[in-house]
Amino acid sequence: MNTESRLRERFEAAAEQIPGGRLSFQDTLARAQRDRRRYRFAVAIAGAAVAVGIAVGITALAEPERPSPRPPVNDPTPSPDRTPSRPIEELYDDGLPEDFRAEPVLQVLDDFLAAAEASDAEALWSLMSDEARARFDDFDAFAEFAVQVNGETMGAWARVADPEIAFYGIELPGEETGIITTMFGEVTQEGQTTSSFISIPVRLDGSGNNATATVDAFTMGEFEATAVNGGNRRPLELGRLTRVGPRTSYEVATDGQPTAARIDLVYESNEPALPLLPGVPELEYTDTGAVARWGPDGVGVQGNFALVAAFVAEDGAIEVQAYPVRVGR
Amino acid sequence: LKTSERDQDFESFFQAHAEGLRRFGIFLTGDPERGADAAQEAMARVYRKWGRIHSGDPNAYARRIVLNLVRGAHRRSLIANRYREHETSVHTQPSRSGQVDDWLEISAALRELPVIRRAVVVLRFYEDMSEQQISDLLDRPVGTVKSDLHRGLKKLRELLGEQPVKGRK
Repeated sequence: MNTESRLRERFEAAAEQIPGGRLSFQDTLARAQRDRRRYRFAVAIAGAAVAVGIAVGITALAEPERPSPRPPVNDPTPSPDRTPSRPIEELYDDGLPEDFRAEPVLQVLDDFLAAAEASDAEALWSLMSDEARARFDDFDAFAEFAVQVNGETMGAWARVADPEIAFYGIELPGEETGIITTMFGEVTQEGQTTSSFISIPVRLDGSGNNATATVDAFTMGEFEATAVNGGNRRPLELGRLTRVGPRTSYEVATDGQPTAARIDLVYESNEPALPLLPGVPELEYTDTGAVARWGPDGVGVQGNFALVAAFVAEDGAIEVQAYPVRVGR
Repeated sequence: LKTSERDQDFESFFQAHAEGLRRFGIFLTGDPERGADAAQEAMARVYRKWGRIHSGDPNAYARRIVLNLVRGAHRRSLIANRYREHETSVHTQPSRSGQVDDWLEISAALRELPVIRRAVVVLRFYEDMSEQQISDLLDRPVGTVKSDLHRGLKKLRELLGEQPVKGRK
């Protein structure tokens, strides 16, 4: 009998030993009806508050609009003559191939971050993909670069307890599969602990548990990120984005390279990361990149997000950028 | 639905799923009282929205409410601190029978996992749901569910003294 079967048996046994009696239907019904009365009262109060809010809003609208303190930028509105969007089906369903197994990816991440913490250039090099290595002239050039990688930089993630990790897939030329990993947690760097995230691309060769995983590290993309608000076209600075209209969109310009852009994880200080939007409802590919949108279903969405954008460069390396994005509030 | 039909309909659902929901809540909290309270609150909310959700999957809806209630409680540090003190008093009690108490061991081990990972593990190994079903239920990408299961299982093996399965990392 394997571990998982034994665990199932132990759960069964534990469930039988749980103390306490069954829930009472009558008590539950009484609770529901009591809460419903409270709810109606709260709705009445909220309705009154909304009426006051509308009145205040009308007054505010009557005032002349103040000029925006932001510098003018080019209107990034997509022009109608762009090439047709690539079909979203080109990305894997849920971003992952069917036979995907987490173990090889998690293992290579653990090993890679441990090597980063130890500033072990040889170990880092051994875990990197050919494409990532090719970004350096040779190992000596990498070793010179790798002195910057230590327990106070990327290696600090090796010490994060129970980080939350999300995976998304990106198609690669050839037989390999690209997995974009984004790790969330409380990271301590140079004495400062912050709630943060890091995205690391992993390349899988093979399938299932037998896949060989390597890291496309230090291949940071140089693409521009522009955030636009679809409601009133006012350009907003990424990182301090506020949803104003019923739709919010983020455009990541990548010069037509295959792109994956996701906005679906929220991170808050002292709170676990939540997959708030499992997949951006609309992801449109243009000749210059990808536009991710949500709304109007996502109108109520607010919080801190990681916008993770990845694309395959001409040399085959996966380039990733992860941006903090604040919505609402 | 008329009120009487609605109540009858809901009662059938309640009788079929309340005990499972209570156990789910208790596995998540590690506390029989808090778990039962979360389950009852979830059932009450299901009742209030019965007209809209009865034709869908109210059991999944109820589980999400329980999880949200437990996570919400964890986020409020004051409650969390009080909870930790309470947990200590509840779970350090030895089994009266003097035998190995699976409930105490399992609940103590589960408390070492983040709440969401606890939920994933319970849904997989107690409720026998597939990774896809868990993903749908928790509105969580399948890849993240796989990651939760891998890490949760690894931690539970350590805590429960289980050996890893041969041939797997």
